[in-house]
Amino acid sequence: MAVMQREASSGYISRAPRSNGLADVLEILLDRGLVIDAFVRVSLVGIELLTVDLRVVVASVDTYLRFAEAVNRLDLRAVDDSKSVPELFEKGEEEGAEKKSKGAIEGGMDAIKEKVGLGGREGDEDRERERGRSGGRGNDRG
Amino acid sequence: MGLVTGLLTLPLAPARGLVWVLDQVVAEAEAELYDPRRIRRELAEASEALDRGELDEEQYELIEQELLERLGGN
Amino acid sequence: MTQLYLYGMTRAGPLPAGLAERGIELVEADGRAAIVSPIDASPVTATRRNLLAHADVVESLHERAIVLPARFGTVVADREAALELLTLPAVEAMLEEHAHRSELTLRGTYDESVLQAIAPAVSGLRESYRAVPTIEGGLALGEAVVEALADRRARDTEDVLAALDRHVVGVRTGEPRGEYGAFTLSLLVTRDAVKTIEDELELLAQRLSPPLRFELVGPLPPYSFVELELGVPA
Repeated sequence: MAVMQREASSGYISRAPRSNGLADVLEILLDRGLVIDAFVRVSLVGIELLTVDLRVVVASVDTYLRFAEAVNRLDLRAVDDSKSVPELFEKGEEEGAEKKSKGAIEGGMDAIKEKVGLGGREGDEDRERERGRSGGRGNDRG
Repeated sequence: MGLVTGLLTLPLAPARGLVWVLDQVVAEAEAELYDPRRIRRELAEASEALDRGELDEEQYELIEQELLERLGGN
Repeated sequence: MTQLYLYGMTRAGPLPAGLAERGIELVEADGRAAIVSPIDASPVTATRRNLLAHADVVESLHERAIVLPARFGTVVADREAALELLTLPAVEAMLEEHAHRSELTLRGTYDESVLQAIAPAVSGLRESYRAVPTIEGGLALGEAVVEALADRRARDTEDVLAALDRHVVGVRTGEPRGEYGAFTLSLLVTRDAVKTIEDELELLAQRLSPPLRFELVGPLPPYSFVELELGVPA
């Protein structure tokens, strides 16, 4: 699956001639396509279960607070007296809380990785990058 | 990654009476675990990790199996 | 018992050698063809391997002639069932209607600089939060950011749709990808309009990027424009 960055428009357009990775394919094959009624055979886990109801839009507490932090950190270059909330608490407490909450929420991928011996903490940076991109909430489907 | 602070840098110090927030977030997280959207997202993330060479096929398929089973077990 | 996994329908014709080697067959009748491969009786799991294979088959074939892709997981009992499917008038109608068409997926995503752009709209709440950081303040600020982003998203999507409107046959919206996603548009176009769309996209990027980033995928078979549900009598 080839992806080229176009030089023009400062590389803000990426172009792929075909479906580009599992994310694309999940959407296009599970949510779209010809439906042959009464002939659909699915695995135990169920196509219906993987088919997403796109009409539900959920903005979570977690999302709001993350956006708050993100926009709060704009312009924090020079010395800044105002502390963002994590800094108000003792380091120890913060780390403890962070670990606890991280465990609860990231549970999925980390737990799985650990289970299969991949180590939950590896590639955390990459995962955070991905998480920044794949929050997965959206609009009505046309 | 610049401005978006990964998952949580929340000041979740329960002593401050903010337990309700933590509870909400945890409850949501648990509900999310079986959310097909989340599972799809994790499948896609694992697939991207495979494409980047961070996982090999076997590791990927273990993760995939786990994720698909999670759907079945719900 | 062997059954047939159905990838989609297309016009009858030669099958590329690569696909034949992978067990793909065309069941043909009257100039139409069902794209199938034999599978054993066990259910079909939505694994990466299977999903990518399905996409690969329909997209490869679409390079030579219109393919109406089936949703993943469709299995028919045997050749007779496939032939029955082919005789449905709706199938011929769709093959004709989409004869020279393809689908393009256009995804828009924001990079972090969008927060700079919307910061003025939330400056009051941001200053309050900075002065006295509380969870409640954080939630209020976060909510305001989400709303401002939604406004931005709506405006940019309208902009894009307006620019592309006269070059497309149809549009279907989908879920933007991720919290910083802007839009996902499935565009139904004639095959010869693909270049025009690319050119139009360049112009849009000149105006809207950053913070918008675009991803254009295709030409694809018209996954999003074959939503007719077909029932074959038992």
